[in-house]
Amino acid sequence: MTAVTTSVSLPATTPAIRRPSFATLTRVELRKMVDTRAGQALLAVTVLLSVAVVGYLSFTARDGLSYDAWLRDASYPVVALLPVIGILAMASEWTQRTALTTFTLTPRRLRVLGAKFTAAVVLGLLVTVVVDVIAAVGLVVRGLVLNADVTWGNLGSVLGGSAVSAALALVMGAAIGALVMQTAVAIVAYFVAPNVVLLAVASTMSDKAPWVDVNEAFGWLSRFDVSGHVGQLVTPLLLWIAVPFGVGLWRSVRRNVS
Amino acid sequence: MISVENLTKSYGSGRLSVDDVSFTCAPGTVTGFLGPNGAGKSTTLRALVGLTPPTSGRATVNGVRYADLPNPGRVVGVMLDAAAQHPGRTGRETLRLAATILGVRPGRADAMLEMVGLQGAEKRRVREYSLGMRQRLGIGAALLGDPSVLVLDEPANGLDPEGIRWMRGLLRDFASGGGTVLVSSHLLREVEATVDRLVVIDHGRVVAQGTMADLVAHSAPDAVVVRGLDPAGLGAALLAAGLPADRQDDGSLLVRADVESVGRAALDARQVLLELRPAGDGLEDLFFRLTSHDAAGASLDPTHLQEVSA
Repeated sequence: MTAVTTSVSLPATTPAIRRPSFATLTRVELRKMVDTRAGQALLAVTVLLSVAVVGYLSFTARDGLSYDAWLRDASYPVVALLPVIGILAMASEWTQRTALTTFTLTPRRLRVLGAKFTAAVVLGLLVTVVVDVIAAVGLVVRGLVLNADVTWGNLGSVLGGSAVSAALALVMGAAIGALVMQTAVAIVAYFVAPNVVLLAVASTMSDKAPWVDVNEAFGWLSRFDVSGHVGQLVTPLLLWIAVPFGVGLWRSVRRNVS
Repeated sequence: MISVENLTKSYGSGRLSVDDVSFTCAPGTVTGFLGPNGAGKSTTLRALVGLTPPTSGRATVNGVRYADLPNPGRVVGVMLDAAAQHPGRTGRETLRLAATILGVRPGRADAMLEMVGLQGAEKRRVREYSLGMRQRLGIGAALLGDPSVLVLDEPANGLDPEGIRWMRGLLRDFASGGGTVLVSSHLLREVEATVDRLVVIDHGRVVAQGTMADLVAHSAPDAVVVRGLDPAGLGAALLAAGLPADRQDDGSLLVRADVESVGRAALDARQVLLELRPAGDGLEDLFFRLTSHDAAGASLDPTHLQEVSA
Protein backbone atom coordinates (compact mmCIF):
# COMPACT_ATOMS: atom_id res chain seq x y z
CA MET A 1 0.00 0.00 0.00
CA THR A 2 1.04 3.57 -0.52
CA ALA A 3 1.01 4.33 3.22
CA VAL A 4 3.85 1.87 3.72
CA THR A 5 6.09 3.42 1.09
CA THR A 6 5.71 6.92 2.51
CA SER A 7 6.36 5.84 6.09
CA VAL A 8 9.66 4.22 5.07
CA SER A 9 11.02 7.50 3.79
CA LEU A 10 9.88 9.55 6.80
CA PRO A 11 12.62 11.61 8.41
CA ALA A 12 13.70 10.83 11.96
CA THR A 13 12.11 14.01 13.31
CA THR A 14 8.53 13.99 14.48
CA PRO A 15 6.18 14.51 11.54
CA ALA A 16 3.69 17.37 11.28
CA ILE A 17 0.66 17.42 13.55
CA ARG A 18 -2.42 16.31 11.66
CA ARG A 19 -5.86 15.21 12.72
CA PRO A 20 -6.05 11.41 12.42
CA SER A 21 -8.09 10.55 9.32
CA PHE A 22 -11.26 8.48 9.57
CA ALA A 23 -9.41 5.70 7.73
CA THR A 24 -6.66 5.76 10.36
CA LEU A 25 -9.19 5.60 13.19
CA THR A 26 -11.00 2.72 11.47
CA ARG A 27 -7.72 0.86 10.94
CA VAL A 28 -6.88 1.26 14.64
CA GLU A 29 -10.33 0.09 15.74
CA LEU A 30 -10.15 -2.90 13.38
CA ARG A 31 -6.80 -3.85 14.86
CA LYS A 32 -8.16 -3.45 18.39
CA MET A 33 -10.84 -6.03 17.57
CA VAL A 34 -8.32 -8.68 16.58
CA ASP A 35 -5.25 -8.00 18.75
CA THR A 36 -6.61 -9.50 21.98
CA ARG A 37 -7.17 -13.17 22.71
CA ALA A 38 -10.86 -12.52 23.40
CA GLY A 39 -11.35 -10.98 19.95
CA GLN A 40 -9.37 -13.71 18.21
CA ALA A 41 -11.28 -16.42 20.07
CA LEU A 42 -14.64 -14.96 19.05
CA LEU A 43 -13.66 -14.92 15.36
CA ALA A 44 -12.14 -18.40 15.57
CA VAL A 45 -15.25 -19.83 17.24
CA THR A 46 -17.51 -18.25 14.61
CA VAL A 47 -15.53 -19.69 11.71
CA LEU A 48 -14.97 -23.08 13.36
CA LEU A 49 -18.69 -23.51 14.09
CA SER A 50 -19.43 -22.83 10.43
CA VAL A 51 -16.77 -25.35 9.45
CA ALA A 52 -18.35 -27.88 11.82
CA VAL A 53 -21.82 -27.37 10.34
CA VAL A 54 -20.54 -27.63 6.79
CA GLY A 55 -18.36 -30.61 7.73
CA TYR A 56 -21.40 -32.39 9.18
CA LEU A 57 -23.39 -31.69 6.01
CA SER A 58 -20.48 -32.87 3.84
CA PHE A 59 -20.62 -36.28 5.43
CA THR A 60 -24.37 -36.71 5.85
CA ALA A 61 -26.23 -34.80 3.15
CA ARG A 62 -27.91 -37.22 0.78
CA ASP A 63 -29.95 -34.78 -1.27
CA GLY A 64 -30.72 -31.09 -1.33
CA LEU A 65 -27.25 -30.20 -2.53
CA SER A 66 -28.15 -26.56 -3.05
CA TYR A 67 -25.86 -23.72 -2.11
CA ASP A 68 -28.79 -21.73 -0.77
CA ALA A 69 -29.64 -24.37 1.86
CA TRP A 70 -26.02 -25.07 2.75
CA LEU A 71 -25.21 -21.43 3.21
CA ARG A 72 -28.27 -20.91 5.40
CA ASP A 73 -27.14 -23.74 7.70
CA ALA A 74 -23.51 -22.61 7.68
CA SER A 75 -24.62 -19.08 8.57
CA TYR A 76 -26.43 -19.96 11.82
CA PRO A 77 -23.29 -19.48 13.94
CA VAL A 78 -22.47 -16.29 12.06
CA VAL A 79 -25.89 -14.77 12.61
CA ALA A 80 -25.69 -15.74 16.29
CA LEU A 81 -22.15 -14.50 16.92
CA LEU A 82 -21.80 -11.47 14.64
CA PRO A 83 -24.02 -9.39 16.93
CA VAL A 84 -21.46 -10.04 19.64
CA ILE A 85 -18.80 -8.46 17.39
CA GLY A 86 -21.05 -5.43 17.01
CA ILE A 87 -21.74 -5.28 20.75
CA LEU A 88 -18.05 -5.62 21.62
CA ALA A 89 -17.15 -2.88 19.15
CA MET A 90 -19.50 -0.35 20.73
CA ALA A 91 -19.53 -1.41 24.40
CA SER A 92 -16.27 -3.07 25.35
CA GLU A 93 -14.28 0.14 25.88
CA TRP A 94 -16.84 1.37 28.39
CA THR A 95 -16.70 -1.99 30.13
CA GLN A 96 -12.90 -2.15 30.16
CA ARG A 97 -12.61 1.53 31.12
CA THR A 98 -10.26 2.00 28.15
CA ALA A 99 -12.76 4.58 26.86
CA LEU A 100 -10.84 7.03 29.04
CA THR A 101 -7.63 6.43 27.08
CA THR A 102 -9.35 6.28 23.68
CA PHE A 103 -11.36 9.48 24.09
CA THR A 104 -8.38 11.32 25.58
CA LEU A 105 -6.38 10.50 22.46
CA THR A 106 -9.31 11.34 20.14
CA PRO A 107 -11.80 13.68 21.88
CA ARG A 108 -14.17 13.71 18.87
CA ARG A 109 -16.21 10.82 20.17
CA LEU A 110 -18.60 10.50 17.23
CA ARG A 111 -15.66 10.00 14.86
CA VAL A 112 -14.29 7.26 17.11
CA LEU A 113 -17.69 5.57 17.43
CA GLY A 114 -18.16 5.84 13.66
CA ALA A 115 -14.77 4.23 13.14
CA LYS A 116 -15.68 1.44 15.57
CA PHE A 117 -18.92 0.78 13.72
CA THR A 118 -17.20 0.80 10.32
CA ALA A 119 -14.52 -1.57 11.61
CA ALA A 120 -17.17 -3.95 12.96
CA VAL A 121 -19.01 -3.97 9.62
CA VAL A 122 -15.78 -4.61 7.69
CA LEU A 123 -14.81 -7.44 10.03
CA GLY A 124 -18.33 -8.91 9.92
CA LEU A 125 -18.39 -8.92 6.12
CA LEU A 126 -14.93 -10.55 6.01
CA VAL A 127 -16.21 -13.32 8.30
CA THR A 128 -19.29 -13.70 6.09
CA VAL A 129 -17.13 -14.09 2.98
CA VAL A 130 -15.03 -16.74 4.74
CA VAL A 131 -18.19 -18.64 5.66
CA ASP A 132 -19.51 -18.29 2.07
CA VAL A 133 -16.30 -19.94 0.86
CA ILE A 134 -16.45 -22.68 3.51
CA ALA A 135 -20.03 -23.54 2.51
CA ALA A 136 -19.10 -23.58 -1.19
CA VAL A 137 -16.09 -25.84 -0.63
CA GLY A 138 -18.17 -28.25 1.49
CA LEU A 139 -20.88 -28.37 -1.15
CA VAL A 140 -18.41 -29.08 -3.97
CA VAL A 141 -16.74 -31.83 -1.93
CA ARG A 142 -20.07 -33.52 -1.14
CA GLY A 143 -21.12 -33.27 -4.78
CA LEU A 144 -17.90 -34.99 -5.84
CA VAL A 145 -18.25 -37.69 -3.17
CA LEU A 146 -21.83 -38.51 -4.17
CA ASN A 147 -21.05 -37.82 -7.79
CA ALA A 148 -24.22 -35.73 -7.80
CA ASP A 149 -25.10 -32.38 -9.28
CA VAL A 150 -25.10 -29.36 -7.03
CA THR A 151 -27.34 -26.37 -7.58
CA TRP A 152 -25.91 -22.92 -7.05
CA GLY A 153 -29.14 -21.00 -7.63
CA ASN A 154 -29.03 -17.28 -8.24
CA LEU A 155 -25.59 -16.65 -6.71
CA GLY A 156 -26.10 -12.93 -6.53
CA SER A 157 -29.20 -13.10 -4.37
CA VAL A 158 -27.89 -16.04 -2.30
CA LEU A 159 -24.62 -14.28 -1.42
CA GLY A 160 -26.35 -10.92 -1.13
CA GLY A 161 -28.92 -12.38 1.25
CA SER A 162 -26.20 -13.93 3.38
CA ALA A 163 -24.40 -10.57 3.54
CA VAL A 164 -27.62 -8.70 4.38
CA SER A 165 -28.65 -11.01 7.23
CA ALA A 166 -25.11 -10.94 8.65
CA ALA A 167 -24.95 -7.16 8.39
CA LEU A 168 -28.39 -6.68 9.99
CA ALA A 169 -27.49 -8.89 12.95
CA LEU A 170 -24.21 -7.05 13.40
CA VAL A 171 -25.74 -3.60 13.10
CA MET A 172 -28.46 -4.41 15.60
CA GLY A 173 -25.80 -5.75 17.98
CA ALA A 174 -23.87 -2.51 17.56
CA ALA A 175 -27.01 -0.48 18.26
CA ILE A 176 -27.80 -2.38 21.46
CA GLY A 177 -24.12 -2.19 22.49
CA ALA A 178 -24.08 1.57 21.91
CA LEU A 179 -27.18 1.99 24.04
CA VAL A 180 -26.31 -0.35 26.92
CA MET A 181 -22.51 0.34 27.04
CA GLN A 182 -21.92 -2.81 29.06
CA THR A 183 -20.83 -5.89 27.13
CA ALA A 184 -22.44 -8.70 29.14
CA VAL A 185 -25.70 -6.84 29.74
CA ALA A 186 -25.86 -5.85 26.07
CA ILE A 187 -25.44 -9.46 24.91
CA VAL A 188 -28.28 -10.58 27.17
CA ALA A 189 -30.42 -7.62 26.07
CA TYR A 190 -29.78 -8.41 22.40
CA PHE A 191 -31.05 -11.96 22.67
CA VAL A 192 -33.79 -11.42 25.24
CA ALA A 193 -35.34 -7.98 24.74
CA PRO A 194 -36.76 -8.41 21.19
CA ASN A 195 -38.40 -11.71 22.17
CA VAL A 196 -39.83 -10.34 25.40
CA VAL A 197 -41.32 -7.36 23.56
CA LEU A 198 -42.63 -9.62 20.80
CA LEU A 199 -44.27 -11.95 23.35
CA ALA A 200 -45.76 -9.05 25.26
CA VAL A 201 -47.23 -7.50 22.13
CA ALA A 202 -48.40 -10.85 20.74
CA SER A 203 -50.22 -11.76 23.96
CA THR A 204 -51.97 -8.41 24.32
CA MET A 205 -52.67 -7.35 20.74
CA SER A 206 -51.67 -10.22 18.49
CA ASP A 207 -52.44 -8.43 15.24
CA LYS A 208 -49.73 -5.85 16.04
CA ALA A 209 -46.99 -8.46 16.58
CA PRO A 210 -45.47 -8.19 13.04
CA TRP A 211 -44.82 -4.53 13.76
CA VAL A 212 -42.22 -5.35 16.42
CA ASP A 213 -40.93 -8.69 15.09
CA VAL A 214 -37.32 -7.96 14.14
CA ASN A 215 -36.52 -11.55 13.14
CA GLU A 216 -39.35 -11.57 10.62
CA ALA A 217 -38.17 -8.20 9.26
CA PHE A 218 -34.58 -9.45 8.94
CA GLY A 219 -35.85 -12.54 7.15
CA TRP A 220 -37.81 -10.49 4.61
CA LEU A 221 -34.85 -8.22 3.99
CA SER A 222 -32.38 -11.07 3.50
CA ARG A 223 -34.77 -12.57 0.89
CA PHE A 224 -35.14 -9.12 -0.68
CA ASP A 225 -38.86 -9.51 -0.07
CA VAL A 226 -39.95 -5.95 0.68
CA SER A 227 -43.24 -5.17 -0.99
CA GLY A 228 -46.52 -5.55 0.87
CA HIS A 229 -45.14 -5.13 4.39
CA VAL A 230 -43.00 -2.01 4.30
CA GLY A 231 -44.50 -0.79 7.58
CA GLN A 232 -43.80 -4.07 9.39
CA LEU A 233 -40.27 -3.84 7.98
CA VAL A 234 -39.47 -0.29 8.93
CA THR A 235 -40.98 -0.27 12.44
CA PRO A 236 -38.82 -3.06 13.91
CA LEU A 237 -35.74 -1.51 12.27
CA LEU A 238 -36.56 1.82 13.89
CA LEU A 239 -37.34 0.20 17.22
CA TRP A 240 -34.35 -2.15 17.45
CA ILE A 241 -31.67 -0.33 15.43
CA ALA A 242 -32.29 3.37 14.77
CA VAL A 243 -33.63 4.37 18.19
CA PRO A 244 -31.10 2.47 20.36
CA PHE A 245 -28.25 3.66 18.12
CA GLY A 246 -29.41 7.26 18.20
CA VAL A 247 -29.95 7.36 21.96
CA GLY A 248 -26.70 5.44 22.57
CA LEU A 249 -24.59 7.79 20.45
CA TRP A 250 -26.24 10.82 22.04
CA ARG A 251 -25.41 9.48 25.51
CA SER A 252 -21.88 8.46 24.49
CA VAL A 253 -21.03 11.94 23.27
CA ARG A 254 -22.35 13.63 26.39
CA ARG A 255 -21.49 11.24 29.14
CA ASN A 256 -18.80 11.76 31.69
CA VAL A 257 -15.84 9.44 31.00
CA SER A 258 -14.15 8.16 34.13
CA MET B 1 0.70 26.64 29.06
CA ILE B 2 -2.38 25.37 30.90
CA SER B 3 -5.15 27.73 31.94
CA VAL B 4 -8.13 26.73 34.05
CA GLU B 5 -10.70 29.50 34.43
CA ASN B 6 -13.55 29.44 36.95
CA LEU B 7 -14.12 25.77 36.33
CA THR B 8 -17.21 24.39 38.07
CA LYS B 9 -18.64 20.90 37.87
CA SER B 10 -21.87 19.84 39.49
CA TYR B 11 -23.14 16.26 39.38
CA GLY B 12 -26.76 17.16 39.83
CA SER B 13 -27.86 16.91 43.49
CA GLY B 14 -26.47 20.44 44.01
CA ARG B 15 -23.15 19.21 45.33
CA LEU B 16 -20.24 20.87 43.55
CA SER B 17 -17.45 18.43 42.76
CA VAL B 18 -15.35 21.33 41.47
CA ASP B 19 -16.21 24.84 42.62
CA ASP B 20 -14.86 27.85 40.70
CA VAL B 21 -11.34 26.51 40.26
CA SER B 22 -8.80 28.78 38.52
CA PHE B 23 -5.06 28.38 38.05
CA THR B 24 -2.43 28.50 35.35
CA CYS B 25 0.67 26.44 34.68
CA ALA B 26 3.53 28.18 32.87
CA PRO B 27 6.07 26.58 30.50
CA GLY B 28 9.26 25.47 32.21
CA THR B 29 7.54 24.73 35.51
CA VAL B 30 6.16 21.75 37.37
CA THR B 31 2.87 22.46 39.14
CA GLY B 32 1.74 20.15 41.90
CA PHE B 33 -2.03 19.71 42.17
CA LEU B 34 -2.50 18.66 45.73
CA GLY B 35 -5.47 17.61 47.78
CA PRO B 36 -6.94 14.72 49.72
CA ASN B 37 -8.73 11.92 47.88
CA GLY B 38 -12.10 13.09 46.63
CA ALA B 39 -11.15 16.78 46.67
CA GLY B 40 -11.90 17.26 42.96
CA LYS B 41 -8.43 16.77 41.45
CA SER B 42 -9.39 14.07 39.01
CA THR B 43 -12.61 15.81 38.00
CA THR B 44 -10.63 18.99 37.25
CA LEU B 45 -8.11 17.06 35.15
CA ARG B 46 -10.84 15.17 33.28
CA ALA B 47 -12.58 18.47 32.53
CA LEU B 48 -9.25 19.85 31.29
CA VAL B 49 -8.96 17.08 28.67
CA GLY B 50 -12.63 17.12 27.68
CA LEU B 51 -13.69 13.83 29.28
CA THR B 52 -16.04 15.56 31.72
CA PRO B 53 -18.15 18.44 30.42
CA PRO B 54 -17.84 21.30 32.94
CA THR B 55 -21.00 22.92 34.28
CA SER B 56 -19.38 26.32 33.76
CA GLY B 57 -15.95 27.84 33.23
CA ARG B 58 -13.34 26.59 30.81
CA ALA B 59 -9.91 25.07 30.50
CA THR B 60 -7.42 25.62 27.70
CA VAL B 61 -4.01 24.40 26.64
CA ASN B 62 -1.96 27.00 24.79
CA GLY B 63 -5.16 29.02 24.53
CA VAL B 64 -7.15 26.26 22.83
CA ARG B 65 -9.73 23.92 24.32
CA TYR B 66 -8.22 20.42 24.48
CA ALA B 67 -10.99 18.92 22.32
CA ASP B 68 -10.30 21.53 19.62
CA LEU B 69 -6.65 20.53 19.23
CA PRO B 70 -6.26 18.69 15.90
CA ASN B 71 -4.31 15.82 17.45
CA PRO B 72 -4.23 16.53 21.18
CA GLY B 73 -1.71 13.84 22.07
CA ARG B 74 0.93 15.69 20.06
CA VAL B 75 0.60 18.74 22.29
CA VAL B 76 -0.53 17.36 25.64
CA GLY B 77 0.65 14.07 27.09
CA VAL B 78 -2.05 12.77 29.42
CA MET B 79 -2.15 9.96 31.93
CA LEU B 80 -5.26 9.96 34.08
CA ASP B 81 -5.59 6.30 35.01
CA ALA B 82 -2.92 3.68 34.56
CA ALA B 83 -5.60 0.99 34.80
CA ALA B 84 -7.37 2.29 31.68
CA GLN B 85 -5.42 0.00 29.34
CA HIS B 86 -6.82 -3.21 27.90
CA PRO B 87 -5.47 -6.11 29.99
CA GLY B 88 -5.38 -8.44 26.98
CA ARG B 89 -3.12 -6.24 24.88
CA THR B 90 0.67 -6.26 25.08
CA GLY B 91 2.50 -3.14 26.22
CA ARG B 92 4.03 -2.80 22.79
CA GLU B 93 0.71 -3.14 20.97
CA THR B 94 -0.85 -0.54 23.29
CA LEU B 95 1.76 2.04 22.33
CA ARG B 96 1.76 1.07 18.64
CA LEU B 97 -1.98 1.72 18.42
CA ALA B 98 -1.50 5.12 20.05
CA ALA B 99 1.43 5.87 17.70
CA THR B 100 -0.83 5.25 14.69
CA ILE B 101 -3.38 7.79 15.92
CA LEU B 102 -0.68 10.28 16.85
CA GLY B 103 0.92 9.92 13.44
CA VAL B 104 4.39 9.18 14.79
CA ARG B 105 6.74 6.43 13.62
CA PRO B 106 5.93 2.98 15.07
CA GLY B 107 9.57 2.84 16.14
CA ARG B 108 8.88 5.62 18.61
CA ALA B 109 6.65 3.22 20.56
CA ASP B 110 9.66 0.96 21.11
CA ALA B 111 11.84 3.92 22.04
CA MET B 112 9.30 4.99 24.67
CA LEU B 113 9.06 1.47 26.10
CA GLU B 114 12.81 1.52 26.56
CA MET B 115 12.74 5.02 28.03
CA VAL B 116 10.22 4.07 30.72
CA GLY B 117 12.14 0.90 31.55
CA LEU B 118 9.74 -1.66 30.10
CA GLN B 119 12.16 -3.22 27.63
CA GLY B 120 11.91 -6.98 28.09
CA ALA B 121 8.26 -6.69 29.18
CA GLU B 122 6.92 -5.19 25.94
CA LYS B 123 5.60 -8.53 24.65
CA ARG B 124 3.80 -9.35 27.87
CA ARG B 125 0.12 -8.53 28.20
CA VAL B 126 -0.84 -5.59 30.39
CA ARG B 127 -2.78 -8.04 32.61
CA GLU B 128 0.59 -9.35 33.83
CA TYR B 129 1.95 -5.89 34.63
CA SER B 130 2.26 -4.61 38.17
CA LEU B 131 0.63 -1.27 38.98
CA GLY B 132 4.06 0.34 38.79
CA MET B 133 4.63 -1.10 35.31
CA ARG B 134 1.23 0.17 34.19
CA GLN B 135 2.16 3.62 35.46
CA ARG B 136 5.35 3.42 33.41
CA LEU B 137 3.39 2.32 30.35
CA GLY B 138 0.96 5.20 30.88
CA ILE B 139 3.83 7.68 31.15
CA GLY B 140 5.34 6.19 27.99
CA ALA B 141 2.01 6.66 26.22
CA ALA B 142 1.82 10.25 27.46
CA LEU B 143 5.29 11.03 26.06
CA LEU B 144 4.71 9.18 22.78
CA GLY B 145 3.49 12.20 20.83
CA ASP B 146 6.47 14.33 21.91
CA PRO B 147 4.15 16.82 23.70
CA SER B 148 5.07 20.17 25.25
CA VAL B 149 2.57 19.77 28.10
CA LEU B 150 2.19 16.85 30.51
CA VAL B 151 -0.89 16.16 32.65
CA LEU B 152 -0.48 13.25 35.06
CA ASP B 153 -2.96 12.12 37.70
CA GLU B 154 -1.28 10.46 40.69
CA PRO B 155 1.60 9.07 38.60
CA ALA B 156 3.54 7.96 41.68
CA ASN B 157 0.83 5.47 42.71
CA GLY B 158 2.28 1.99 42.75
CA LEU B 159 5.81 3.08 41.87
CA ASP B 160 8.59 1.80 44.08
CA PRO B 161 11.00 4.35 45.65
CA GLU B 162 13.40 3.95 42.73
CA GLY B 163 10.49 4.51 40.32
CA ILE B 164 9.36 7.63 42.18
CA ARG B 165 12.89 9.02 41.95
CA TRP B 166 13.00 8.21 38.25
CA MET B 167 9.71 10.00 37.71
CA ARG B 168 10.85 13.08 39.61
CA GLY B 169 13.90 13.28 37.36
CA LEU B 170 11.72 12.83 34.29
CA LEU B 171 9.36 15.65 35.29
CA ARG B 172 12.25 17.98 36.15
CA ASP B 173 13.97 17.24 32.81
CA PHE B 174 10.72 17.78 30.94
CA ALA B 175 10.22 21.19 32.58
CA SER B 176 13.88 22.15 32.10
CA GLY B 177 13.37 21.60 28.39
CA GLY B 178 10.60 24.23 28.43
CA GLY B 179 7.73 21.84 29.01
CA THR B 180 4.70 22.49 31.20
CA VAL B 181 3.88 19.87 33.82
CA LEU B 182 0.72 19.49 35.90
CA VAL B 183 0.95 16.57 38.30
CA SER B 184 -1.60 15.64 40.95
CA SER B 185 -1.04 13.88 44.22
CA HIS B 186 -2.72 13.39 47.57
CA LEU B 187 0.67 13.18 49.26
CA LEU B 188 2.70 16.34 49.77
CA ARG B 189 5.88 14.31 50.35
CA GLU B 190 5.59 12.85 46.87
CA VAL B 191 5.67 16.17 45.05
CA GLU B 192 7.34 18.73 47.29
CA ALA B 193 10.82 17.85 46.06
CA THR B 194 9.80 18.17 42.41
CA VAL B 195 7.33 21.00 42.00
CA ASP B 196 7.86 24.73 41.56
CA ARG B 197 4.28 25.68 42.26
CA LEU B 198 1.47 24.18 44.28
CA VAL B 199 -2.27 24.37 43.81
CA VAL B 200 -4.00 22.96 46.89
CA ILE B 201 -7.61 21.88 46.45
CA ASP B 202 -10.10 20.70 49.02
CA HIS B 203 -13.82 20.04 48.69
CA GLY B 204 -13.68 21.28 45.11
CA ARG B 205 -12.18 24.67 46.00
CA VAL B 206 -8.65 25.98 45.62
CA VAL B 207 -7.58 26.68 49.21
CA ALA B 208 -4.02 27.82 48.46
CA GLN B 209 -1.74 28.32 45.49
CA GLY B 210 1.63 29.83 44.83
CA THR B 211 5.30 29.00 44.53
CA MET B 212 6.75 26.56 47.02
CA ALA B 213 8.83 29.38 48.54
CA ASP B 214 5.75 31.59 49.00
CA LEU B 215 3.73 28.87 50.61
CA VAL B 216 6.56 27.90 52.94
CA ALA B 217 7.05 31.54 53.96
CA HIS B 218 3.35 31.93 54.74
CA SER B 219 3.14 28.74 56.64
CA ALA B 220 5.96 29.23 59.17
CA PRO B 221 4.96 27.27 62.23
CA ASP B 222 4.07 29.19 65.36
CA ALA B 223 5.90 26.88 67.74
CA VAL B 224 9.50 25.84 68.39
CA VAL B 225 10.97 22.63 69.73
CA VAL B 226 13.93 23.17 72.03
CA ARG B 227 16.00 20.64 74.00
CA GLY B 228 18.61 21.55 76.58
CA LEU B 229 21.27 19.75 78.59
CA ASP B 230 19.34 20.79 81.71
CA PRO B 231 15.64 20.66 80.84
CA ALA B 232 14.49 22.12 84.17
CA GLY B 233 16.97 25.00 84.03
CA LEU B 234 16.04 25.72 80.41
CA GLY B 235 12.33 25.68 81.28
CA ALA B 236 12.90 28.16 84.11
CA ALA B 237 15.01 30.40 81.87
CA LEU B 238 12.31 30.48 79.20
CA LEU B 239 9.62 31.22 81.79
CA ALA B 240 11.75 34.07 83.13
CA ALA B 241 11.96 35.46 79.58
CA GLY B 242 8.15 35.35 79.34
CA LEU B 243 8.09 32.25 77.10
CA PRO B 244 6.08 29.51 78.85
CA ALA B 245 7.05 26.05 77.60
CA ASP B 246 5.33 22.67 77.56
CA ARG B 247 7.40 19.68 78.51
CA GLN B 248 7.17 16.94 75.85
CA ASP B 249 7.37 13.19 76.48
CA ASP B 250 10.85 13.00 74.99
CA GLY B 251 12.20 15.67 77.34
CA SER B 252 12.14 18.49 74.79
CA LEU B 253 10.16 21.68 75.32
CA LEU B 254 7.51 23.11 72.99
CA VAL B 255 7.43 26.89 73.04
CA ARG B 256 4.97 29.22 71.35
CA ALA B 257 7.57 31.65 70.09
CA ASP B 258 9.96 32.14 67.18
CA VAL B 259 13.30 30.41 67.00
CA GLU B 260 15.33 33.56 67.60
CA SER B 261 13.59 34.56 70.90
CA VAL B 262 14.06 31.07 72.29
CA GLY B 263 17.73 31.06 71.27
CA ARG B 264 18.35 34.45 72.91
CA ALA B 265 16.56 33.44 76.13
CA ALA B 266 18.75 30.33 76.33
CA LEU B 267 21.91 32.36 75.64
CA ASP B 268 21.04 34.91 78.35
CA ALA B 269 20.62 32.12 80.91
CA ARG B 270 23.79 30.36 79.65
CA GLN B 271 21.79 27.18 78.94
CA VAL B 272 23.43 24.61 76.64
CA LEU B 273 21.11 23.72 73.72
CA LEU B 274 21.10 20.29 72.10
CA GLU B 275 18.34 21.03 69.62
CA LEU B 276 16.42 24.07 68.41
CA ARG B 277 14.03 23.92 65.46
CA PRO B 278 10.58 24.93 64.22
CA ALA B 279 7.95 22.46 65.38
CA GLY B 280 6.87 20.16 62.60
CA ASP B 281 7.11 20.80 58.89
CA GLY B 282 5.57 24.13 57.99
CA LEU B 283 4.32 23.12 54.58
CA GLU B 284 3.00 19.80 55.74
CA ASP B 285 1.21 21.51 58.62
CA LEU B 286 -0.30 23.93 56.16
CA PHE B 287 -1.46 21.11 53.93
CA PHE B 288 -3.07 19.28 56.80
CA ARG B 289 -4.59 22.46 58.21
CA LEU B 290 -6.06 23.38 54.81
CA THR B 291 -7.47 19.96 54.29
CA SER B 292 -7.73 18.65 57.83
CA HIS B 293 -11.50 18.50 58.35
CA ASP B 294 -11.36 15.61 55.95
CA ALA B 295 -9.18 13.52 58.21
CA ALA B 296 -10.97 14.65 61.34
CA GLY B 297 -14.45 13.91 60.09
CA ALA B 298 -13.92 11.19 57.53
CA SER B 299 -16.97 9.34 58.76
CA LEU B 300 -19.22 12.39 58.69
CA ASP B 301 -21.73 13.09 55.99
CA PRO B 302 -19.95 15.23 53.35
CA THR B 303 -22.80 17.73 53.06
CA HIS B 304 -22.61 18.25 56.80
CA LEU B 305 -18.87 18.84 56.47
CA GLN B 306 -19.42 21.46 53.81
CA GLU B 307 -21.76 23.35 56.06
CA VAL B 308 -19.27 23.20 58.89
CA SER B 309 -16.41 24.50 56.77
CA ALA B 310 -18.51 27.18 55.08
